[in-house]
Amino acid sequence: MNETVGISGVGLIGPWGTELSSLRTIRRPLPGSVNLVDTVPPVEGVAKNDMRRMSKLTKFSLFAARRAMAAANRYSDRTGLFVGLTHGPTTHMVEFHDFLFDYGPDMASPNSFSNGVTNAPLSSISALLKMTYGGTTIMGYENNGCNVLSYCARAISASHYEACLAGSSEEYAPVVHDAYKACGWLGSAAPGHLPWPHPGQGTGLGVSEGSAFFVLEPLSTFTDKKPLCLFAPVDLDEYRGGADAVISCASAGPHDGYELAALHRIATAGGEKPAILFTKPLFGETFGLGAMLSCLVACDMVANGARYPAFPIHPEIAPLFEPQAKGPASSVLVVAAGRDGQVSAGLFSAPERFGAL
Amino acid sequence: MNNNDVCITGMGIVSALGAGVRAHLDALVNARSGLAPQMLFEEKDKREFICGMVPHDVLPHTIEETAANRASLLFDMACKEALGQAGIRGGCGADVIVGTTAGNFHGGTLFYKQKRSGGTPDRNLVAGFLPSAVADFAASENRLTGRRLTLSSACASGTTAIGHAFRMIQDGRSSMICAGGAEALCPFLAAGFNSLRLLSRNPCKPFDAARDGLNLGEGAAALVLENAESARVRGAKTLAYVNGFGEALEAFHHTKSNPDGSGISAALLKAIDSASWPANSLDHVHLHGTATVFNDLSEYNAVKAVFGSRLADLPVCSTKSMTGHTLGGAGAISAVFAVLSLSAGIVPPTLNHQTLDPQFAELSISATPRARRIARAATTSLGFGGEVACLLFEKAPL
Repeated sequence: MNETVGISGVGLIGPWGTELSSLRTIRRPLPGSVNLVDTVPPVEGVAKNDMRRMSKLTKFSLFAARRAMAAANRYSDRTGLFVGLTHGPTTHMVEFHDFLFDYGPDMASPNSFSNGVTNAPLSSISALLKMTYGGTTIMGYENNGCNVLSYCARAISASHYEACLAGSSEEYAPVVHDAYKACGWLGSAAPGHLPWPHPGQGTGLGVSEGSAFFVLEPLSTFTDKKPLCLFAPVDLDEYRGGADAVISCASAGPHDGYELAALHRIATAGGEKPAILFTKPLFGETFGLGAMLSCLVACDMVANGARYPAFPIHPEIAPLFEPQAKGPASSVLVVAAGRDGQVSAGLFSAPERFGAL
Repeated sequence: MNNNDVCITGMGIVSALGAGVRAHLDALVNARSGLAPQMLFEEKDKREFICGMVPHDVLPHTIEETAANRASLLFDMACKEALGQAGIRGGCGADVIVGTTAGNFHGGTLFYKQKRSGGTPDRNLVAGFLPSAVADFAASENRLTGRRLTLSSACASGTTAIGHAFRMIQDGRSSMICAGGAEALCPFLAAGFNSLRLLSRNPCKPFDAARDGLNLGEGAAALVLENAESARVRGAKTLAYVNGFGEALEAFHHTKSNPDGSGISAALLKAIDSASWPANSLDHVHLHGTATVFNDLSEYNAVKAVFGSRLADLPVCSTKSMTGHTLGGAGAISAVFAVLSLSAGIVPPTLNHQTLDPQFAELSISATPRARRIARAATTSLGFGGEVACLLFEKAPL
């Protein structure tokens, strides 16, 4: 089954800005160990009072989702809604616990609870954009963003949805940062090269937050306009090479061992030696969102010919890849491994390839 | 039977009623409830709630002792039973799809508490506190080497997980999936539902005129789903088929369901459409039935809209009065009950139901089990945020 879909719109928000072009201005690494979104711009259709009650995670999600749908400029009643998360609305859960511990269960805030449940971003998007067809929140690890896109592409190909609004979000919460630090993962200094299988010595990237959404549609709907780019899920066991560039979501975390194995598989799949890029040093660690941001970078590369800075490669795999793309890439493979060993991959292609399909 | 048929070849369940399908069939036949008073919260805030806790002889640990992996333990128990019934021992390449709302979140609660008190938090508490850890644990314990997927659709999570598994098999994207839902009772969830004033201090009474809220519960259920070819090659017995899945988003409110029931009826109609069945061929509907004022009203309006005048002859039930509301596990637990209804020919009792709310005049519901020939059954699930999902099941030929 051909599982290729077209990307018709994207939306994003992060400390770097709210435009795809703003990603290109990042020069690694972002300063400091924690990089946060200063303010979330108003979201059309959401009252200020409602925004005030929402978690950062929900605000990010609403902003990016609305942008993506506006950019796609197309609406189907059969659009599925999928949100990929790793931690959920943590700051509201913490607030709820503070009420609970300090004042007892009768003073615990119902608003913190209802806005702190995992699917609060999805339900807020659904209410704002009047999306009623269906969808769900997919929980996962560092590969989750790419996994969500792949899942949606396959669901569209099987005609379960006419289109999908699919995204991933992450909000910074000190308790999460502390938890990972307690496990010896997150640090403040970017390591010398990636991927770097986690030695448990406190290496790792700083953390960040934000949201990224895509609108995916079947190729058959692109009769009156071109997609931004094409996307196809990739099973690495069946991958036979051919991408101009590979984006790895390694970040000196515990998943990097799996990432390294996946990169070996890609490098030996055949075809010409691709260039390799590591995008997480640009954004910092954003867990499941990181893979979605990498997908945005891939989309920007093939749709707009954008170039991104290179990052030193692990000596073991350096000979297998080009350190830098020689020219604009027309196809980019995104690969992301999670800490549980699951690997997701997807191929972004230039819209010019649309006619050839 | 054709190869797109999605066969259920194994089931596993654990809840306040005990462990195992047999215990649940026994409870269904004998109208037995697992609800009991339970002390929740700590010290000065300690108070009694009616809850559906998994019995101590089934999971011999307190909530605190199992903070880091209680939901994982429950789902693993259900998976083990389901895989055993399906004749799968020693692992296989099956995928795992689990629905949960909080997973092992109590580990995160304790971590934060330790941190607030200035101590050094126990890092073991955070190892498994993310929802995805539930699927990881079951896959690892049972040597299931396929993909793992964790879905969170609030209280519709279990149904959503089985529904997506159904689609993946029907589409040929997987040949075998262990799918279900799990939830562990923890103070966070109890305090959350308490803050929303949704908990009843009495045993819950779904669809009753005197209903005043829900009882929380915990538990897990898993189904082994496989395509017909896989079941045939393995010589596995098909217990029932999953024939349809429908979902909808109400786009209405974070915690309240839309009283007009339009989301639920849309999901039910989609499920019926995906099964290519006429709506009047259903013999039984296993409702979500939490016993809250709005949930039950929404569901009634939905089934009334879908089934019209036939509703009075369509037996329905809610088993929340036996297990409590197991949130992310509820849809999967309902699925096991629905399959038991098909095989045993029994409509489960809706315990504590005494006086039908006059608004629901056409609902065929009873506090006692009813013997019926049931060939096709539906389950409905509603979650916070207006997430709604429905499944359809069909009896396998003898």
